[in-house]
Formats: sequence, C-alpha cells, structure tokens
Amino acid sequence: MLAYTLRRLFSMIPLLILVSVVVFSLAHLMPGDPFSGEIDPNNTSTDYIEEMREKLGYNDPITVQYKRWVTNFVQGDLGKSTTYKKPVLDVIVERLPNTIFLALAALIITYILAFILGMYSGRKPYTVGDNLIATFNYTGIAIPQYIIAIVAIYFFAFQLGWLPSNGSVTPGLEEGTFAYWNDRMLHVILPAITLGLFSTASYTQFLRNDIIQNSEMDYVRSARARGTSESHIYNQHILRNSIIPLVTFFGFDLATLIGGAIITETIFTYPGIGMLFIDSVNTRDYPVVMSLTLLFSLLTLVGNLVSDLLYGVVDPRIRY
Amino acid sequence: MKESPYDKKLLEIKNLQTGFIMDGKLHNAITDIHMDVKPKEVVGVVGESGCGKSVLSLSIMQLLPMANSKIAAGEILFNGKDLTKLPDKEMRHIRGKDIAMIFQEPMTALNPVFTIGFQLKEALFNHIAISKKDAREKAIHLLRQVGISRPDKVVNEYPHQLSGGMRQRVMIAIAISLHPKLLIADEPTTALDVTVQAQILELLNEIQNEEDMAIMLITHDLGVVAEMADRVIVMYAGQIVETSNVINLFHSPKHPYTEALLNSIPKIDEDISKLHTIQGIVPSLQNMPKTGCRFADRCPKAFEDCSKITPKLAEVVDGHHARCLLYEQCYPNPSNKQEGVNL
Ligand SMILES: Nc1ncnc2c1ncn2[C@@H]1O[C@H](COP(=O)(O)OP(=O)(O)OP(=O)(O)O)[C@@H](O)[C@H]1O
Ligand code: SF4
Ligand SMILES: [Mg+2]
Repeated sequence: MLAYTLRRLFSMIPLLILVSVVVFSLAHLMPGDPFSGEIDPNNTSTDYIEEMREKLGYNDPITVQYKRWVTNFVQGDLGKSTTYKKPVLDVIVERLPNTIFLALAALIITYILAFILGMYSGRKPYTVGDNLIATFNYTGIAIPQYIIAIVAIYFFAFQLGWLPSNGSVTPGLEEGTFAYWNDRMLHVILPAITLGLFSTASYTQFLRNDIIQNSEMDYVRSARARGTSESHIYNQHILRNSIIPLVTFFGFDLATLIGGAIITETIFTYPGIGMLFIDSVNTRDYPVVMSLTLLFSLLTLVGNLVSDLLYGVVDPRIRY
Repeated sequence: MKESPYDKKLLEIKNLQTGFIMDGKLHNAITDIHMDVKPKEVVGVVGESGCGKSVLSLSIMQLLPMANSKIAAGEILFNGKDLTKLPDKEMRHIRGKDIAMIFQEPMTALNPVFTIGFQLKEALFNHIAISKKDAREKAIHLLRQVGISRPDKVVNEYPHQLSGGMRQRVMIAIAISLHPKLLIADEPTTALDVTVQAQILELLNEIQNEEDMAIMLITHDLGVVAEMADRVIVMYAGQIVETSNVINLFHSPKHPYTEALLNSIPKIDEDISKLHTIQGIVPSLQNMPKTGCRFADRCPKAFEDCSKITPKLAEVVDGHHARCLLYEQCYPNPSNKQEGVNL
C-alpha cells in the first residue's frame, strides 16, 4: 500500500506541471496584469511604470517568469496578494479553516442523511416513503445550488429567523468559548445544507438502487437459506457491499465540496477560500487566483488517490 | 399398504402449484406436484432447463422471489408442518437448521466482502447459542470435514481467494453445520469442472452416510442420478411425468420423455454422431397447452388422444408412476375417457 501510494503521488507530478503551465498561461492571457494591483494610482508616469515592471521581472522572457514562479511556489512562496498586500499563503491559511469547517459539516450532513434515507428506500422500494424521498431527491438534483441557497436564506433566515444568513461568526464573540462555537455552528448550517444537498440527493438514490440490486444477488438468497434474518441481511450483508462505492465517493467529494463552496460561500458571504477565489478574480489578484487554482487541482488529484486507497480498505478483493 | 416406520415421510408435497404474476396474470411454473422424501433417502429430480426444478426447491424453502411469485395451491408438509402457512420467523428457524440448501453457482453464493469464517459462523449463530471461540473451532472442524486443507487458514480468507470447487465445499459445510434432516442441492455441480464435479458428488455421498440426512438432488444429469439417487422424479414443463426407484427408471422407463432423456445420454460403445436429442423446446409459461399432454408436440409416440386429453399421474406398475396416455390408468376418468384440463 505504501509503495502504491508513493507511486501514485509520484505520478501526480507531470499532471501538476501541466496544470501549472495552463494556469500560468491563462493568467497571462487575462486582461490587465498582476502588476496592476501594485501600481501607485497617483503616479501614472510611464517611466515609473516601466521601472517597476523591470524591477518586478515582468519584462523577462515568459519562460524565465514561469521558472521563477514555479521555483518560488515549491519553496512555499506563493507570491504576494495584490489586494491584501501580504503573502498569498497567509491569506489562504487565514480562510482555509472556515472552508474546512463548512466542508466537514456538509460531509457529515450528507453521509448521515444519505445513509438513513437510502437504507430506508432500498429496503422498502416503491412504497410511499420511498416515493417521497425520491421526489425530494430529484427536486434537489434538478434545482441549481444558488436558487436553493436563496430560497433557504429567504425562509430560514428572513421569514423564520432561525438561522443567520451570512458570515461565519457573529463579530465580538470571544474565540474558544461555547457561545463562539455554537454561533459558528449556527452560521454553517444553511451553507452546509445547501452545499451538501446535491450529494445527499444523489448518494441517497445511489445507495437505494445499489441496495435493491444487491438484494437480488445470489449471496442474499444463500444467506436467507441458512436462516439469516432480514435485518442482518440488510444491515450486514447488503450494506457492507453497498458501502464500497459510497466510501470511494468520499475522495471525489473533497474536490467537489471545495468547488461547490465557491458558489455557496459567495451567496452566504461566508469567508472561506471559495469566496476568496471569486473576490480575487474580481480584483484581478492573480497570485491568489493562480495559487487557489493549483490548490483545487491538487485537491482533485489527492481526492482521486484517497478514493482509490479507501477502495482498497473497504473492498477485500482489492489489495494494493 | 401397511405403515412401517420406514414409510414415515420427512417431506410431503401435495398438489403444489407455484406461479409467477406476469402482466397481471398468474402463470404457473409448476402444477400438480405430489411427491415425498423419506428420512435418509436420496431423491433425484431431473428434467430439462426451465421445467421448474428450481421453482420447486425454492417453494420448499419459501425463498421464491418476493416480487412476483405466488404459491397458488397445495401443501408442503415438513415433519407434518405446512411450510406454506408458517410465519416468516418460524420458517427462518427451519431454514439452515432442519432444511438446508446449496445452489448451482458457488462463485456467487458467498458474500464477497465477508470471510468464509464469518459466513460459516453466521449459520451457527442464527440457530444456536454458541460462543465466538467455539463457533470458530466448529467452523474449522466443518471445513476439515468437507475436505478443505489448512482449514484454520481458509477460515480467515475471502471467497475470491478460493476456487469454485472449494467454494462449493464451503457451501456444503455451511449447509451441514447444524445437521439438517433434509438437504436440497439444486444442481450443485453444474457450474464445476468435470473432475471437481466427481469430487463434490463423492463428498455429498460421504456426508449423506455420515450425517444420515435425506437429500433432494436436483440435476439434469441422469448419470449423477444413477450414481446417487434411491428414487427419481422426472419433471417436464412444470409437472412430474414419471417417478420410480432408480433401478426401474433406468431399466424400464415408462414415459416417452424419460426414454428420450435416457437415449440422449452418450454411451461409450456408441457412435457419437448418432447421439439422440429431443426435438423441439419446452413450451414457455405463457404458452402451456390448455388441454392434452404437455409433451405432445415433441413426443415420438404421440397419437390422437394426446392433444385432446390431459393425462394424470398414475401408478402404472407397482410403485412406478407415469403421466402418459399410453397407459390406461392415466386417463383422467378411465371409464369414459373424459378430458381433463391443465392448470
Ligand atoms: N422470477 C421469475 N419470474 C418469472 N418466471 C420465472 C421466474 N423464475 C423462474 N421462472 C420461470 O419458471 C420456469 C421454471 O424455472 P426454473 O428456474 O424452476 O427451471 P429449472 O428447471 O430450475 O431450470 P434450470 O435447469 O435451468 O435451472 C421457467 O419457465 C422460468 O422462466
Ligand atoms: S401422452 Fe401422448 S404425447 Fe404425452 S407422452 Fe404419452 S404418448 Fe407422448
Ligand atoms: Mg434451476
């Protein structure tokens, strides 16, 4: 398993290089340049601009610039944010915990709901309960996330006033206290449900169909033939099989959740890296945009690896 | 006939009729099944693919697909209890304990994500109070009993690590774990290599002797029947067409279908090019002839009455039953040769 993991990690390198070239080229093709943020708006003399460009290396050949960027990047120097005037790494690290908190909350909600609903539907297919769950799920899949977010804000925040609609915590609470964490919880619920809804709906339907499919397998019939009870058949024999694909989705979730967070965080003005990304695109903060894009790509690759490794853990037929 | 303890019936099926609901209508897969199995007896059930052998055995186990199957009539008495009327919970106590079953496909019969030991021990836990440690020991012992070498290792292995023959041995070990009185073996060797087939049959034979259990052996291989069975039931298109002890069946078959089956076995001294096959195919559930003999289309001896009159199963010689109009006794009403109907 260790050898396999190392081999997989190693094979990510060419992909990451490719992604970095694409990201770097795109940044250069975009209107404006990374330098626009550094300019002193009051000094528009061409000499001054030219001097600054030379100083910052924007006149070097593009390959030299790329090499410099990559070298700095792997050394942990992601550049300096043109908006926040501080290292990109600091900006990201400041926001990352919020996004991780949101993604975790979404994951927990997704998996708990998907298991409860999926197992019910799979065991009692074509019943009223199953049909209700299916209706709910297909609605959740069909409606775009931003509409769900807006509807959720309208009802739960404005009409009912149960939950806050923006931010990650009410300002002024002392960090680490119970009130602080409770407040953060309340702030994460709506965005987390919005973020997790699509996965919840699709995993529930997936689990249901997988359970139905498994219930027709020969091994179920032979388990019944030795007197195994229906609850054991569903909760052990079938579930243990149906868990396999679901667990491997977990790896892909890593990337989709962070990607989905771009929309959710923006709508809920939840200060995580998703919102940071949109803000940075708007302000042409290229060092941040480039770093985040690379981070998302890296997460996708790592997510795939995590999926494959989990597959080996939960399926005894797969050994690396 | 006088009653002796040896005539006591372990399993007795009366007038069983099982069907599937398709397009809103019930189509019978097996009808008019009367049969019994006595303690320690090996009963062979033979017939072409699709004649209803599996439906019969799943009816006994009450393991028919829940979605669309229906036992429309009849009784299945096991030790005097009618299994068709038993609540699920009581039936579950019989399955695996008093009646065990092994299936055709050893490759898929075991759950791929649980160890052999888990599935063996489960059979024990389902029916008796036993500690984990004792269950494991018993599991190892059972694996040894069915001829698996290094059972202490195999007990921790997953199904995919075992060959088809070994998996069928495991299924047999599970089946005999609680000393059932009846083992239903639905084509236990069909999916295996010829050499492995022989070993598995040998094993079943040994175990039947050791355990004193009755076996209902389903197969379409008459050779297997000749080797193993005391009594034979021949099925055609959902009905029993002939039953007798194994010697009489092979020496003087009464039903033309049985004759055809026997003719289709290749004999060593015969030119292989002259191998007889039975012309035509079994009618499908939806296209069963309403009256007449179900074999009429394919029967080399068919005559006028065969498509008009429905034969019944009757004793044609001592202890030898057949369902064919060549025998006077099989006319539904011998005095006026009145028509019968197929269900
Ligand atoms: N779930 C089902 N739904 C509808 N029809 C079925 C179902 N299961 C079996 N049948 C039909 O019942 C008839 C008897 O099938 P069965 O499986 O008992 O045959 P078999 O004698 O066991 O054949 P084989 O030797 O191929 O195992 C067949 O015509 C089959 O198509
Ligand atoms: S009843 Fe007629 S058709 Fe049927 S088996 Fe006998 S001879 Fe053949
Ligand atoms: Mg069958």
